[in-house]
Amino acid sequence: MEHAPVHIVDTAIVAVGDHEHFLALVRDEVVPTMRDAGVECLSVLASSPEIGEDVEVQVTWRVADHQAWNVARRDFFLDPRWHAASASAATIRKGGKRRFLYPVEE
Amino acid sequence: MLRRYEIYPVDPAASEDAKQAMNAGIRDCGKFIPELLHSAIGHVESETSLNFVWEHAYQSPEHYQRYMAHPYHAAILDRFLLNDSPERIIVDNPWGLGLVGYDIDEPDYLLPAGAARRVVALQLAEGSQERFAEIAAGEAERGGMLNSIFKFNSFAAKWFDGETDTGLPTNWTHLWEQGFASLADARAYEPQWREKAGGIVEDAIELLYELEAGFGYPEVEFGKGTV
Repeated sequence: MEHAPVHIVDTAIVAVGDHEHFLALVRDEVVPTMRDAGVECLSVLASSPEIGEDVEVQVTWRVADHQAWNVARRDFFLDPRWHAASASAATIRKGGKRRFLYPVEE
Repeated sequence: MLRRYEIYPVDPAASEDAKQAMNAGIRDCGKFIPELLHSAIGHVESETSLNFVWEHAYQSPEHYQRYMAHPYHAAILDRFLLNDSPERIIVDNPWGLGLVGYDIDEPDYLLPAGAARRVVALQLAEGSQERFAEIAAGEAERGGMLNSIFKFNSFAAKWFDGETDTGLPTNWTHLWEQGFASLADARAYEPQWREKAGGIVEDAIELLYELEAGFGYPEVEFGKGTV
């Protein structure tokens, strides 16, 4: 498998009462910080808060390859905004995962 | 060679399943990243909250760079470690002792699986390296230690590619690895270096653990390193 481009799919589980706060954090802090590190934000999607269960927030990022991710990782790691946003997200999030996905031939 | 350590406080609230997954994922990393050598983990005895050590090595900065950009590093190792990962099970490290290491010609640090290591992270007064090296050598000659490696902590600043100084500061100027046949031997050893060193040691943290060897860890005879 060719590991490029890399799609980083972050899924967070948040309580209904926290989901607007979490989305604002993603929009105002996480996305700008990651973009400044060279990571493209492809989408921010959320499940409905009106169906009686926690909200799933899915953010999909893209970089050219793992070399590019390694450079971006250095840059956001050295950015105090990333540390602050990560700490804030951890206090709101109830769970979730990050997965690295790649295009497959059809 | 590049000798490298990652040192963490694992979240006490982490589930046993998550801790086992992290242990295996890190310990056996060499199964997926062949450039990574001599991988072993340890569950630490320390006066600090630092309770997890991963020790390993690379033949060269080029080998290290392949590790850094490997999908396994991003997908599996960072899953447990990186601040923004939802599955992170370490907590913030207030000791400033996280990623450290040094350059060495041969893997003189190697110990048999199951042996014990004490890592002493040191903040030495400027210009006192030679004096402390003499003290460390004297301690190693008193008996009980299988090996003793005292080195300048050159890796902390060049964590990105093993070559370039990132400018990230560290208080821990030097590392001293001490090898013992067992945890019992390590605990029985009565160090005298603090008294001998006096004011040249500005700060120190000691980490003691048994080596839980990972995939590909070499057969090692006591005192004889092999690649």
